[in-house]
Amino acid sequence: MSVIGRRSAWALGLMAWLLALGGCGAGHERGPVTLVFKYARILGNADPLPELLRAFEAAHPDVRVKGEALPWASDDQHQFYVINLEGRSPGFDVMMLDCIWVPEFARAGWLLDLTSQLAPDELAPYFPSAVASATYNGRVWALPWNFNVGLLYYRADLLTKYGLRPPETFEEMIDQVRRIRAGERDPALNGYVWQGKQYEGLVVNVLEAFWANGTTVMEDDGKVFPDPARAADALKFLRGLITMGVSPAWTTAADEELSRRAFGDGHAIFLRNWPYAMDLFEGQGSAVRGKVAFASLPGRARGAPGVGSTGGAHLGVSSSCGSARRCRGWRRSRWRGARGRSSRTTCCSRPRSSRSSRRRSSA
Amino acid sequence: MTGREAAARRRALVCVAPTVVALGALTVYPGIWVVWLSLQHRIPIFDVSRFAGFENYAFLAVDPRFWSAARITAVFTLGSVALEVVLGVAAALAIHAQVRGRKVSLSLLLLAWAMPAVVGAKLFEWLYHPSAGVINVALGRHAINWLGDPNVALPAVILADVWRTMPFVAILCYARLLAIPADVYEAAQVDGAGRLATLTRITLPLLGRILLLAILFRTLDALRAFDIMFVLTGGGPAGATETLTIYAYRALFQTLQIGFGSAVSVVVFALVMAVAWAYLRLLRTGTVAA
Repeated sequence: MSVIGRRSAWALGLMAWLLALGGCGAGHERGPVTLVFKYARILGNADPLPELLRAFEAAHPDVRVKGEALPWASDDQHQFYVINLEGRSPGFDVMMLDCIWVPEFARAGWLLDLTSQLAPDELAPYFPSAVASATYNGRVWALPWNFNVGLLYYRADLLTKYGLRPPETFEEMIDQVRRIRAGERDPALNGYVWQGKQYEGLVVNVLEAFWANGTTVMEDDGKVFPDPARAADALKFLRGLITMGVSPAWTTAADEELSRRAFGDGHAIFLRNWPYAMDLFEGQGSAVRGKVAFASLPGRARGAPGVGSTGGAHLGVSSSCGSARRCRGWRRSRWRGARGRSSRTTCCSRPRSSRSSRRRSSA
Repeated sequence: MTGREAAARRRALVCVAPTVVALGALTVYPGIWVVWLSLQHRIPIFDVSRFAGFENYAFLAVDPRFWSAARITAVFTLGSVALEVVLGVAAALAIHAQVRGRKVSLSLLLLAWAMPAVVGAKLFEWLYHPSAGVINVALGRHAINWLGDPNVALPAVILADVWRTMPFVAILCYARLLAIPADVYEAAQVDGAGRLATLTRITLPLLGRILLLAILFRTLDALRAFDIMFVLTGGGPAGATETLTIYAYRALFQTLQIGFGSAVSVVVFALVMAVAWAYLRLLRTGTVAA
């Protein structure tokens, strides 16, 4: 210890400690308030968010918005939010929530109650199911933003070639798949691709199968599996799609993107997916450009009419948001921005549906 | 000791103190906190927070999902380590036998190990892609449903892990091989030992101690493996690749049962500590000469 003098050693140590402590918890800076907005990257060719954020900043010069992207998989976003919000100092202010998380996060006390900030008819223009999923215990915890519904995409060119109309039931669809495959004689052509990987998307597909078979997971009175036989039949049917060969064996490893690519490369006749895919099918260089249309999901022959699961994202504010003034200002402005700009985030460019999509509230 | 030595000692303690405090805060404190959490029922979204004693552990003892995860962890660990050792030793021997180009071989081998685990997992995710992956395209009509078939998923994950971690064993063995003096082999040759005899009677015993060390490291890593199966299958088709770590992660962050998830984590911790202790005992008693 004779090389470094005693005093300088102490000074070095003290400096290191101070730097470590001082580095945490930067104080509030004066000037424009910076808000952090966590969102999931919107899949597709053009991400409209940076543009929208800049427009918002231009309209509100005292607020700067820092947009931070999350992975596009819903499960990954949920885990990110849970880890950060449970720690009570999330480091972000506004977040894009999958519609199913709002009651969960509200119950855990992680969201700011927005009810008092809303004008009486503020939520009237939104879909009822979207508003319902943003409400918990009679109070509004998030603002509906994106709206999603499960759709049946199909190769309009192939169906027209064999004189077929989009199927109303799954049994009809299976029959159509057999006919088209027999005619096309293409071993790489799959029938119906959907999401069967063990993740959130599988739950959506199974729920849609339940609803198409006329049953549900939980009744309004809280009874779980009111009709187990029908539920079991729905599951058997889904499994049967794979064993029969209507859906490929890799369905159990397929998520939205894998199935979307298979259909987009021309290797499938039917696809169950969300509206975002349409833009990608109609994009430059797409193998199925001009050949794709969509319709409502089919039902079962003796079950209920087909129903697509509603999905989508809401905007919520973290309850550990710093100053109330900042939060209020943000909310009011953002929400106006969301209303004015909702059309730009719609993913379908030129929908060519042969039947009007029936969006039943099934949240 | 002299005053000067005492002063030097004090200075040393002061310099070490920040590290000790940091390590303590980052490892010891969370460790104790997790054990404490495992003794409670804590579900934040339902406002459940009460002391539960050993209820979580009692539940685990009869939980079929836990035992399935334990079995899969065991299969993964044994399969992965066994393959790594065999392939690692083979690779080390092969490189050692090379006359020229050893550096190139070593660099290529280390490329796999240098890659972050998640990147390697993503790489294999694309290789295993059912329709566009290189493997299935090469197999053509005999394409295998790598990550979607419950019987194939675990071997596929093991393969991906072995590819990434085999170089570690290979490098350790290669370094040991370099240290074996050449006259040992000359003496063996003089005594009339064939290649197989040289391998089994001389090379492998001399590699023994370093192999044990490598197996220790690899076993501990395989018991705690998370990223490879999380990225590839997320727990697998019907839980076929759900190890204890994945189960703990799901319990903690998907179902938000903090107490229960902590209990699973403590079990993993105890398992890893038990295995480490067993191995270190083996190393200390010295089953083979260094």
